[in-house]
Amino acid sequence: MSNTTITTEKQTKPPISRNIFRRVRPVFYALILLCVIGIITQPNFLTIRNLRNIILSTTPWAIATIGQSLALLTAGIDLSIGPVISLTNIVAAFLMKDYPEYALGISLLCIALGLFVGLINGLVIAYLKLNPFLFTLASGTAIQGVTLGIMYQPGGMVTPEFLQISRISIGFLPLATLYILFLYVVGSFILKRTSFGLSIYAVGGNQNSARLSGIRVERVLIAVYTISGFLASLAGLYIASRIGSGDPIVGEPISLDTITAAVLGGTSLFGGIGDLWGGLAGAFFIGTLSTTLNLNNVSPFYQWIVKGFILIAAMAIDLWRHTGNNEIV
Amino acid sequence: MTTKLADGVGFFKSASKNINRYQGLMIWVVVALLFLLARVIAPSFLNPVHILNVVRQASGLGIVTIGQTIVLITGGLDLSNGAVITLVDVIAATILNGKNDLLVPVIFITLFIGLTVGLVNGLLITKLKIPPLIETLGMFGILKGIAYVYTRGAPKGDIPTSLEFVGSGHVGPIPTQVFFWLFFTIIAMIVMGKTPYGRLIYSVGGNKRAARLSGVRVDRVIISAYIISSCLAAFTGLILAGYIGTGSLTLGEGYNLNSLAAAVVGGTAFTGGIGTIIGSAGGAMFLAIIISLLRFLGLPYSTQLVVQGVVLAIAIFAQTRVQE
Repeated sequence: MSNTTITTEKQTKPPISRNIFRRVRPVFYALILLCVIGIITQPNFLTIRNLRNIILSTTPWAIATIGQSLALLTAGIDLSIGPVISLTNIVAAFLMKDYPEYALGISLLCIALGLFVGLINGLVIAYLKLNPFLFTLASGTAIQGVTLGIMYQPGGMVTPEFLQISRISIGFLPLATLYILFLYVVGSFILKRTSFGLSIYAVGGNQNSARLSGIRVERVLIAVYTISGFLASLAGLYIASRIGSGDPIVGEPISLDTITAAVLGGTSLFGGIGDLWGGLAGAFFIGTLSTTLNLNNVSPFYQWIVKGFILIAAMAIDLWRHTGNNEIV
Repeated sequence: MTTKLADGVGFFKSASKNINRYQGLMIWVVVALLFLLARVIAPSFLNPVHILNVVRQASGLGIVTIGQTIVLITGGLDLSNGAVITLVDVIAATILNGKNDLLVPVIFITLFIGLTVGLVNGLLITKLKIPPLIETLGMFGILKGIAYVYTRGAPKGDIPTSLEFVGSGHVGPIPTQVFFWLFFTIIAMIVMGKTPYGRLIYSVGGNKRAARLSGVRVDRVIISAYIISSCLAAFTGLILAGYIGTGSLTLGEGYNLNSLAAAVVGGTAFTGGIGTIIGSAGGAMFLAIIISLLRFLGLPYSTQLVVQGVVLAIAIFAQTRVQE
């Protein structure tokens, strides 16, 4: 649960238990449990190589989940995250192959693309009041089309310097750890300690009362979707650096995976409840789960089933914890 | 949105009658305009054989969209229907393996899959209050996984002649699939427009609380909507299996979002309580014509996606305006 100070309609909080174990979100226990299972079943789990691998492969999910969490906090959703990741990934690899000397400019262009898509999403959702689920589904479909139009098959190449973004390490710790930490610390600070952050909660809690109390709801929504597009473009660039080339459908599962991560972390689909750290734990839960299942030679086919069960179970547990909110739907 | 405020006696009427008639027919006007457009930019598109082929392409989507529409009207959402199609297809192809003699058991298995999936969806959504988006998304993953595990990633098997007739045969010049679409559409129109059950569906979506207070067993109505949706998807799986003639792990892909798009384009509100079967049929027809026309013009898949996205955005915009 959040320790927000503003009161909104939906904040019928359960009485805060004195018991510290109940106050920590279940996703953290789940993550610890998963690690214990990993350590027991696989002696290789605790090797530096495996831990690095988990961090490196989870990074884009972790980055994109921030944007999704913010969208969910405003009672919205962003389904264009995956397509934006694919788009920026492709544009980076496509252009850097021919113009390696402009790697920095190309990266900035990709970020601009992410900002632009996010801005459009935000403008339409804020001013035309279109349903976020449907509109980001539509814009995501169109962006996926543009991406496939630029490059239909995996290809392209990034510059050797660009590759280093995902490969540099400080000691055994990949630099990616710092990207994640930096984004989450800054994001959480903004969310919890600035008026903009608190207005996100207010908009998600009750748009009308937020407006009546003087919050510029439209601006908040536009900012949130623009941030989400920006972070998706960062995730796309990171993937380009990690795989060294472009793949037009690399972002496909990420839109939904970020929703799973945020929901696992206790962010409500109805807005106003949740924070960023839960989403981070959720993203790492998904990343660690895939790695553990792979290490144990579980067929990827079963992973679909496992992920489906976890998504439903996580939601059920979360609703059970917030019994006061059950009447919302 | 007006229905949300409506309450009491007049509320059943306003929800099911006044708003809907218009909206359902609007999309057919657009479909007619689309044909006019096709006549201008690609005159050869409009030959009867080709048009019937487009209608056949719309049939599978059309049947799934009926279920999606009913679920949407109750205020829900079904993203698992595409996975039901895939699962039914791989199971039917494996069991039948080209022989007709097991067709009746396979039809029962199909119905069983539809019933079970719909019941589980409905129970989890109503009793545990899991949001439909999350629940049906999770179910989508589970069913897709089951289909992969069942086939071990390599679907095999064959579809017998009887099912092939359903999927790719013709009665006279008309593809057999179209009759099934027509059949389900008419039944659904009667049920939704003329029966008490149909009015219950609208009332639940219009205002859940008001419906509950006026004695409607809301949970049962919602569960039944998910069962209908899953059963129609399962049946579509059987028809499409007959069309492609083999097991395929990607057969149902895109049906969840396309059925959603078709329903919304046809005037069904994402917020529940508003929508018509005839409108959704128009929506399915509309999407099928657009896709087929773009292919006919030789545009690549990437352009199709862009156009689909833009069209969907325009449709949502138009609908939001109409409802205001």
